[in-house]
Amino acid sequence: MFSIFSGLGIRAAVCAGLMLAALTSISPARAQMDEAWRPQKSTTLIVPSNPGGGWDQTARFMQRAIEANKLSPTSVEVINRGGAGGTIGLTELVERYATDPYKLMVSGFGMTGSVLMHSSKHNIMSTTPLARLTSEYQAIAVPANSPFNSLDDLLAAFKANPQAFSWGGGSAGGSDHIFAYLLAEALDIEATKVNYVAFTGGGEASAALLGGQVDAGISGFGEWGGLADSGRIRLLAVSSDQRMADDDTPTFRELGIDLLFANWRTIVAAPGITRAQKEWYVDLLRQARASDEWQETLKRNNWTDSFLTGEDFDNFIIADSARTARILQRVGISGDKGTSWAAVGPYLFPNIAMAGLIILAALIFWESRRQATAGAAPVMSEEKHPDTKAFVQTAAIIFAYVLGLKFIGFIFVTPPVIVALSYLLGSRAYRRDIAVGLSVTALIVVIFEHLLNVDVP
Amino acid sequence: MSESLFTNLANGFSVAATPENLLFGVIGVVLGTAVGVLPGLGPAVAISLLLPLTFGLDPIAAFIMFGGIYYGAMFGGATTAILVNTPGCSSSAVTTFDGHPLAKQGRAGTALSTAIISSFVGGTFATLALMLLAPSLVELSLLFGPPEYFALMLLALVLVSTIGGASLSKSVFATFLGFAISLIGIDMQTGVSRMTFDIPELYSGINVVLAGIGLFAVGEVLWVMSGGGAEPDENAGLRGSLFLTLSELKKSAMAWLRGTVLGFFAGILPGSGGTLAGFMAYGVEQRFSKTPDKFGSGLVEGVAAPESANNAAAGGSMVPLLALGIPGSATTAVMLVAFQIYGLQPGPLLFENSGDLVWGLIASLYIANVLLVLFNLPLVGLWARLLTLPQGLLYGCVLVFSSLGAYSLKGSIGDVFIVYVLGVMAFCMRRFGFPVAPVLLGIVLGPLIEQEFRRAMSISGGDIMIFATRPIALTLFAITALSLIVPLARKSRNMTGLGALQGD
Repeated sequence: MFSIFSGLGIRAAVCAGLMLAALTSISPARAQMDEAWRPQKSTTLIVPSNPGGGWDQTARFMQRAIEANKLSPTSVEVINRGGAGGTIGLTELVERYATDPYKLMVSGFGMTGSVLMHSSKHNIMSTTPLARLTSEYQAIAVPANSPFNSLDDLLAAFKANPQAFSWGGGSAGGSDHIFAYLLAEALDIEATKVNYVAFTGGGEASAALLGGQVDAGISGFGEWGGLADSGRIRLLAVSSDQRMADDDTPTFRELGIDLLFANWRTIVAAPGITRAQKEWYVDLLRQARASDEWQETLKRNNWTDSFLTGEDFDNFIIADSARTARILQRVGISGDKGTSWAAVGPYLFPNIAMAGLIILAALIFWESRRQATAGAAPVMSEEKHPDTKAFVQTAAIIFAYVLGLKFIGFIFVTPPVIVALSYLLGSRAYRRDIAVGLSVTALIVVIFEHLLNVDVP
Repeated sequence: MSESLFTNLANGFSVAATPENLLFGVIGVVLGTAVGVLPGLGPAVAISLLLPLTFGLDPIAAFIMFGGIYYGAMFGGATTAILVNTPGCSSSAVTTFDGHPLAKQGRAGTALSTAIISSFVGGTFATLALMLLAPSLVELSLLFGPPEYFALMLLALVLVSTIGGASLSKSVFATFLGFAISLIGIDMQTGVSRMTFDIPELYSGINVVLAGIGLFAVGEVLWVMSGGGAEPDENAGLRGSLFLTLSELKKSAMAWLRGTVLGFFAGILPGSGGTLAGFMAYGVEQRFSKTPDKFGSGLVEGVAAPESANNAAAGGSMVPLLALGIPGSATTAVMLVAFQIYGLQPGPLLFENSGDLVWGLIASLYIANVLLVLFNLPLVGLWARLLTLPQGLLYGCVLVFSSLGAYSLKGSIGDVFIVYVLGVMAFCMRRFGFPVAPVLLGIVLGPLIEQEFRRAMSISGGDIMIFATRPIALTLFAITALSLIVPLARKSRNMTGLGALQGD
């Protein structure tokens, strides 16, 4: 257990261990209380990424499958909580909604890398994993006019001079990146020689591949779908166990490379939900999985149904996370310094920016001195000077506001802030200001919480 | 070909222009405008929030609504940029430069009308270009690899380096500051964290939206509250016509033309988008202008250029989406999900497989554009009246909305704090005569310049000559050099005492 999670830190491992213990033991009183649990209000499905990616799609198609078949007595809402590779959503689920049975979250393979890169203190095992839903296999693609007609051609070139062979894919630490290193590992090529060019997303990486900017592209099999059908790219190999349905792309195994890799996606719940709650949701996902809508979704996105729950799933997560952690450590992402190959390292541009700032600051200082000694009137805007005292007061109010938002809550601190700012600008119409403050606050709560479904602090 | 194009489009309109669809279009425009007005909430968020509501709808009805949201949000962002110097979305940041001075002169109505008409022109012509040229343009955009992007971003930087102020050294300092801020966070190429000081809130970096809220909205609140703005009663009134004068219309026409072309192309290239399009259009407009030094004091063409450009960019970003299935922006990424939910696979085969829907979508983009004008133009007077509210209350609300906007991005109070720190920074910069806009420019361009440079170097295996051996990149470098040299040469020819003040 501990060796497996060596990259994740002992704390995380202990946490995961405790989680497993909590899942397997249950007190009688609690069991009784939980009998026949069903949701009394709507369930929120958190997507820990911005709209548009694989997690977002998983959530929205799942929502659709549940709603279309009325599988849940209450509604399911999807919200996006992007940022920090998903660890913001993860932290929120584990800490803020620790025992809330109405918060679920999409997660999956990509979370392991994010957790390591962002030094997050939680990982997937800090939540209650419900079920693995899908697996998306990685495929290697080349543009239609590429000289590489088979995986053998391509790998020959890659092996001959790894650094001169560029791979394009999504950002560092993601599934495409890790897959490139797993492939190198399978071929006994040093990870530090892999020339991987990261793009902002699958879309930009595909554009670079189509334009022949990189030698080969790595992405999910499904994401290549439209481009492969139209003949603009060729798929050389897929990382699944068997060939994908209705497709003749060979697997790595067929081609003699022992490499299996799946970008799996799951739905998890808060760490502290009860067994009955977990069972209810697992059952919900099982029904949704059987629905026509979901089956059609799988087919359309070229996702493979890899439904897995219970202890098997937990074990799978632990083993898969260990493999990812090992690769990321080897290429230096979760270590102290990067050892992966990059023509230009990560610190060149910060140094340029800092040097530029220092030189310019010196220049500006010198200019102002020269102007002062020449007796020239300082060049100032015609706008009148702001009042420092008023600035300090305003700044104090807004920083009090941010503390108030954190510790007291939006509803209580917003009206006083509006009134105070108005007062500072010389308004003495207290009654009007208070009325406006209250009504603006009420309006915002209605708009954000009820219409837009965005929580206010 | 042209006949079949016409028949196709006519079919599209017959599918799209039903009363029910028009109603959804209006709903889209209203929601889009509302969301655009709120800082932090952009069209991508609005569309993803509405996605579940459209499950039961006919796809065309949903698309027409999304089109309305997209264009409406672009315009909504401009509204607050003009009225309270606070861009509702980052693509409207440039609109503050001349839009807000216009509002201060009592011509908020004119500025808003300009923004609406510019959005309409940009959006309509971009849709037209999308319809006619999508397949061939997509091939063109594929010629752009990392070296070309790098060259293009350098050009953009030089084009807009003149914006924002008197002293060149201070402008460049501000740009570098933005550049430094943009590098905070986890490096995309190697995964190492840079300049984060182990603060988790900084790992994902300070994105353009947060920076826009902090530098402009919070900065403006602090500025006005400290008495740095105009006298309260001075900007309250609405003087003169809500519309443009004839000579302004003439100048705007050229700005529309240039802004639309530029914005459309910026939109096609995945990853650059509306914010950059706005900056570039403004920089180009200033260079073509006979009175470049009047920019920033309330010129109509200073609103017309970025507003036509950012809407044209919205249209342009549909090109790679429809033709290749490649989303080039956050909003098109959400639209891609919507497409898939309706069983459409955008890509080279889309036009063949689902022609009806595509033409319906294109028609609905036109319709959404017209609805935007019809719905918003009559409301200009009402919007402008917002300025007659007591300033304390107005800016109190700006602060509250900004805080919520920053919070809603990730649900993190840390982001609200970051936004306030940026606001204080913006205030201090203005206090000491530094322009603030170049900071945002640095934040927009910085990551693009850095990542594209490093990608290019990786692709070439570390050989810098990659930049010298690619024709498009070389051409772009040449244009960059020209646009650096020409103004300098011109300046030295009619050298006056002004040169000394410019500080270069």
